[in-house]
Amino acid sequence: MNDPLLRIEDLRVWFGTRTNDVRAVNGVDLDIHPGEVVGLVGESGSGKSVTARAIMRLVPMPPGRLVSGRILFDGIDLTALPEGEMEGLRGGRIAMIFQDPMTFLNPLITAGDQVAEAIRRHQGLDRRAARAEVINLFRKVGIPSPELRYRAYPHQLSGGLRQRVMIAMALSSRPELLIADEPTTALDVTIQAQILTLLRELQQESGMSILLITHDLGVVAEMCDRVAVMYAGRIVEQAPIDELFDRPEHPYTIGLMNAIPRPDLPGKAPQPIEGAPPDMAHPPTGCPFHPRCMFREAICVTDDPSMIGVGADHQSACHFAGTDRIRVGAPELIGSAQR
Amino acid sequence: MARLIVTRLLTLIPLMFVITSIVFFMVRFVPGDPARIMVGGQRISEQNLANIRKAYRLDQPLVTQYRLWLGDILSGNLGRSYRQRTEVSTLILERLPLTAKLAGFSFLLSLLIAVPLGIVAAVHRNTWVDVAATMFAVLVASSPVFFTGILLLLLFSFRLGWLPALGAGEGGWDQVRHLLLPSLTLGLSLAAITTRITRSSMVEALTQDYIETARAKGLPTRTVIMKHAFRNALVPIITVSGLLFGFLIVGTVLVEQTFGLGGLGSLLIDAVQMRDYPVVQGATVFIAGIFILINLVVDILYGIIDPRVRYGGQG
Repeated sequence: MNDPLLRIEDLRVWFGTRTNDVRAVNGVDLDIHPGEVVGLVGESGSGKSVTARAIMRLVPMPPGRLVSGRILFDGIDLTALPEGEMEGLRGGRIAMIFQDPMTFLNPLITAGDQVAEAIRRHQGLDRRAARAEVINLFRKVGIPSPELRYRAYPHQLSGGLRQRVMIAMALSSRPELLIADEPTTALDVTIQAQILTLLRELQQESGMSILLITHDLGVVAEMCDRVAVMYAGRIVEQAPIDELFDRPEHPYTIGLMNAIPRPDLPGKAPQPIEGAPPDMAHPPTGCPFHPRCMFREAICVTDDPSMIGVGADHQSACHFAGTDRIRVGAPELIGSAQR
Repeated sequence: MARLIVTRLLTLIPLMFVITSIVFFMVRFVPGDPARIMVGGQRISEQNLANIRKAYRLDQPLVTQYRLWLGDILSGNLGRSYRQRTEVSTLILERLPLTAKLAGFSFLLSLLIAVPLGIVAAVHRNTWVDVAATMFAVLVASSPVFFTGILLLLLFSFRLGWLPALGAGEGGWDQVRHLLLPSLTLGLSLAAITTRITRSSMVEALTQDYIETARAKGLPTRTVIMKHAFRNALVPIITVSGLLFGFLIVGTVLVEQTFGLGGLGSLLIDAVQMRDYPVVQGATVFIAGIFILINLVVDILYGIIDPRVRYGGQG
């Protein structure tokens, strides 16, 4: 395969507290290729959002701290880039959309002006040209009566429209990489589907790469080419989408799949993963998932598993990945967890 | 928006009525006979005292006095000073320009000091810059105006000899020089509070989600702070500034005394000491009216800054 557009190597971002460092991101490796849609999945607090913000260099430092790692975007190490150049990339070649389009839009500035601001920043257009471009973009992302919406303030728009405004803002300078941090979480289910469809259409049209952060495997199944499952600040499994759903090789992935309600299988109630994600100020010994793992053995408590290849472009960080233990241990689970 | 202004103007009427009534009765419950103070302790016959009281309606029952006075101010007549035999409105208008300049100057200086300081403290929160700004604010806020005033006087007038100590000066530039120290005194004590408010509302604004969006757009830090955070932080700053205007009036009274300025403040103080009821009433009503108008302006500014107020929208 050709060179990745984004390559994250051994990224560690810790947050200093009075007593201990919270290891929010603790050794993430991830590649995103041009035109690829990669899902980053995990529970709240698994480090997904911090990873995304680290790419954009939006993690406040302090309290955050880059402990190790490089983030190569098209060969440029973002962690070493001067702030001025980083500003040029942000909202330019790399753009981001956020979870809650209400709180992420400035309440005092009209929707149109907020998008125009991005356009003027990166394309140096004058006020009038930027305005025309905004109205074009609004039309493209499916905002009805764009001229009218240009002058609307965020509180006058519905959640779906606000997210379309955010998308228009992010796409205004035709980014090569779009980071979408839970873009549909705050929206109604029907609107979620519309926004996902829109994102997929826009991706296919422009060929940009997307890093889609979500805790919803359904969204992943609909959107992504490849999935990375994150737990306790690192990626524990990654695989092409079909491979992951057909043959999950990490107990946490299996747990996530079992937690999805399955209306098509009435006999099968969703099973939550017992316990809670670890406190990353005091991570457990060995495999960080072992306290919640149904396949736990003595080795899991003492040894931290590293990523091992279990198939074409499929890796899992489990001592038993690729063995029968996982596949036999949960045959019914895996079989029914297919999409 | 227009409705807001009209409603506020209408509520002004009962408010002013209540204020004037309180002032009217309050001055009269202060011990001391205006007629006796008027003659300045000279020996005078009871007959003459009675004549003076009669001339100024002081012999009438309180309720009658009140009714007559209400009638007067409704027709725009604030009455005559007992002492100076001049219209109260003339006295106020004579003194007003100086106090207005002092107040305006002080307010301007306070904003010039407080807003940048508050913003810098918020941007560099929990660093030594923030600590220094806090220390400045606490120190100045806890010093009485006359104390700060005397310190500044000692430093700039007596030690350095840069600025005049007393009086209001003549003409443009001279007056600016004369008003600089009084305004700085008052401005500093206002700035203490405004700095704290600016800091806290900027800290709040800077942690909002839309700041992240603005940064994600690639906007330079300066634009993020001034355009996205500061505008959102303005509402509390303006609210407090409006309320501080009351503080400013009290301040002008003290500062005028400290720096020997004959403004509205000293007019009021003298009038209270001389039990010059019409002047006390007139000046207080006048100041209260301005205070209310300023707060109306504040409400209008909310609407200009925040579209959610302007359109009465939800969220």
